[in-house]
Amino acid sequence: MFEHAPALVYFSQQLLNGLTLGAIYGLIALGYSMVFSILGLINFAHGEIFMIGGYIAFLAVTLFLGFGLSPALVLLLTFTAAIIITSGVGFTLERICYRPLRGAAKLAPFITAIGASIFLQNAVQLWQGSQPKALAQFLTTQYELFPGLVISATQLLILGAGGLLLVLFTLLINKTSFGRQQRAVQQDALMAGLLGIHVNRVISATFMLGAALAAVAGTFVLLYYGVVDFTMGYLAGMKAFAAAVLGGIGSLPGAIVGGLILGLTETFWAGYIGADYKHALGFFVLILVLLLRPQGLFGKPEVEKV
Amino acid sequence: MIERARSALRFAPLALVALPLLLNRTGLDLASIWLLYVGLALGISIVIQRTGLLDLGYAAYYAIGAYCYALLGTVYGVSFWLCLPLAALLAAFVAALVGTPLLRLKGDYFAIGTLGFAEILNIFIRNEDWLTGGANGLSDVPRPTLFGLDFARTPGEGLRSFHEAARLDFSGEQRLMFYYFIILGIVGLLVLLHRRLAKSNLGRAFEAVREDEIACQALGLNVARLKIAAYSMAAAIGGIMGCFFAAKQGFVSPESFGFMESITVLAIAVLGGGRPLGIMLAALVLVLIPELARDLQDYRMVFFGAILVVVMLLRPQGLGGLRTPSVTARMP
Amino acid sequence: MLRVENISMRFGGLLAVDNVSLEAQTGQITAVIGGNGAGKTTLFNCITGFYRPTTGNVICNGYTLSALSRADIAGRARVVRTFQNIRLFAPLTALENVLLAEQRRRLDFLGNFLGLRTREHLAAVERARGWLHYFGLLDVADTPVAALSYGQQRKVEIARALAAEPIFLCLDEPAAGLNPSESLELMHLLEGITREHGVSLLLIEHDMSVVMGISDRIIVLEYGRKLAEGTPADIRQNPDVIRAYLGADD
Repeated sequence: MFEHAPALVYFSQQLLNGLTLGAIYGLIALGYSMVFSILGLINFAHGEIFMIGGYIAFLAVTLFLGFGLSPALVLLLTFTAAIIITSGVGFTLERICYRPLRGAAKLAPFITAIGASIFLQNAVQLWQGSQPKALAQFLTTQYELFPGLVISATQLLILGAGGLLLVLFTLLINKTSFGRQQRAVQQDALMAGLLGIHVNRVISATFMLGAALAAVAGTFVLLYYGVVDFTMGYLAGMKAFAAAVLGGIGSLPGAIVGGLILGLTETFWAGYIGADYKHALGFFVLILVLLLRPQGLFGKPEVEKV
Repeated sequence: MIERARSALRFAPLALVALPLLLNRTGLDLASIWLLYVGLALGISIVIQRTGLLDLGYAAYYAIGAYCYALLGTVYGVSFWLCLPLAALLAAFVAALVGTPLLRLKGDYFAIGTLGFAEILNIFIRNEDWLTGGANGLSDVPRPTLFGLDFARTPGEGLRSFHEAARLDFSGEQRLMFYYFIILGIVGLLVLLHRRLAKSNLGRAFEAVREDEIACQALGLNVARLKIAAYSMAAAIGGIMGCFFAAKQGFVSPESFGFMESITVLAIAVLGGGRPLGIMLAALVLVLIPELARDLQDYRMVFFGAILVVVMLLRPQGLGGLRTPSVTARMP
Repeated sequence: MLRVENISMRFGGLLAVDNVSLEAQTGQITAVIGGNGAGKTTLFNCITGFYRPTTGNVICNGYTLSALSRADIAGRARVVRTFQNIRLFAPLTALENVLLAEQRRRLDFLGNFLGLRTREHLAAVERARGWLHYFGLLDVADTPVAALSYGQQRKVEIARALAAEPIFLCLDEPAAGLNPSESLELMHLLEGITREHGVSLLLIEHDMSVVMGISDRIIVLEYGRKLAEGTPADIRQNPDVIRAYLGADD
């Protein structure tokens, strides 16, 4: 039936691509949302964490492929390396830039976040050069679902692993003791501390968890587009932030849904209307949501205390 | 000691007027760039420090001013001197329009909103070639003249050349010196504006908004209007600086008005603590030193990011000194 | 006259204020008292426009306050409030804090900006100095308020509210955090505000003894409802109030 309906094939292809992009945004958005709900802080440097994840993945893939390992093993090692190193960066970021300023005026941590973001971006440029890093042929298999409708192995991986991660993550937050501690700190950090919860440890763990998800997203981007670039963190970060706000900042399912909506909107916009304003869409969405429904799709409205 | 330093500072304006005598072409150009950033930071500090609003999209107003002159100047031949106030008005108007909804947002959300606006404007400039020349920008922006005196070797139509009128040999430095004095004059006026603001009812009300909006409302102050006033005032200054930038470079393109430009200006203001002298020093450190030390060029942005972090960690309130009250009981 | 008509305020399942009506007369001191959780502060926030009541109206000087913005309640209806947890502009001096309340009069911004010492501006400073003098704060007029003692900060906040020229001044627990002698001194000053300067007062207080001496009329709240209303003498003898405050001993 598809051969007779090229419009439908085109639509399905866009849908598939949009979901893939949306899953990536969603993974990054989770990090923004978690940190915001626990510290009330927009971790502006989160986009750079994602970019670093992508670079670590690039270095790891290149290294392990050099050893002549099997693709599956390379993939496993790459994810492990990216997650571990990037979580370390997330941990360090929080310790240096945010922890000393906890409780200070709100502008201060936001500005350190911007400073950290600039620092990380340019440090990576100095370290890896300003040329984008392109991956040699890896995981390029494509499957034709119907004539004209193609899904790549990476897309399958992103959608499959992304979904799995989401389930694991929801279980972690809802069913484990760590999840309970995290929610306690969110509600009232002081009280949680008095009850014997190691607040600093929970916050560090939250940053590491967010960074780990960003590392996965960075690896996905590397595999999907085959290239990473030291400036990619800013735009992807802003779009993911828009997704988090759209879903309702602080709401974890909201971050995923927001990511998917943004990914689909961008892809369909580019596919049917034109690529000119594709990158502006995220910002439009962001501003509109902030103005019309600041609590987002899934968030609760904030009550002003007098 | 401090007294002596303070009295020495009185001669600072004089030193700035005499400075061009000591500088060669590169020096003159750098000094103008330095003052340009000082002016921008003086503008943004009205919102950042005085009113406590984090604006991450200041480059938008800089761009509006620059394109205002680039378009009016090239297409309609409007003069630079007329464009200065026009750019200020246009930027302030856009700021009032954009600020009315955005300023309802609180804290970080306002910051993100301004960033979004600036990005959208930048993408607009990149895409609408018919108006803005797209990514290639607009070139051949007309050079400003001094009461009809042109600084080119051969004057434009209907103009006299400066070097002939002044009975000098032609030299490219004359034009650079002219730019330097234009920007020095503008920055001088901005410093006066800052001083007046620090002593006035309006400046005090901005500070009250920064400290406690709820208390302001309880006193009957119109917080929304005050915020728009501060935001538009800063935007107008951005517009003026953009107009000067377009004239000085003779060329504008969206490259010059990206997120990093907003952040650079913000960093100078934050590092300078919102005070004219602090801002001058901060601009020296953040703009000029990296320009001078070519070897450090690659490290410039890393250094820049690190400075922002370190300053905030050491002094979250910035490098500014103690606040001077706007009015004292012994007065009037 | 400030009239509260059938105000109710519901937060989710909690009815914090339940159908309360009261009147505060012009030229008098009216106190609303009640224990913790009686709904005093919620009622107060409804009157001054910081909460929108679920039902009911507040009417004062011909304005329906619940229909005005917070700024207009202060600026137009001339009902000005203070805060239980003192909200001053910390780095600004006491004088600057008080002067800010003059700002709503549209002082000549341009002239002031240009540095002209206009008559309005001089008069504003003089009025601000007057209020600071009334509260014995002239010595600290040029001190940033963050450096003042708690008791002084409380007085600056009241002086600032007075500089906004209220017809009704609403004070949220003005004696909270003060020691007995400070509190006594403040009550004398408050009495003077009404008796000498003609500003009507609406006080919220949890400690009955503090306001007994100066109030013309007292309203007692309990669990969001009005328990009693009357002159201090009536209230002192009211069996319901005695039961609520001292516990039933029958």
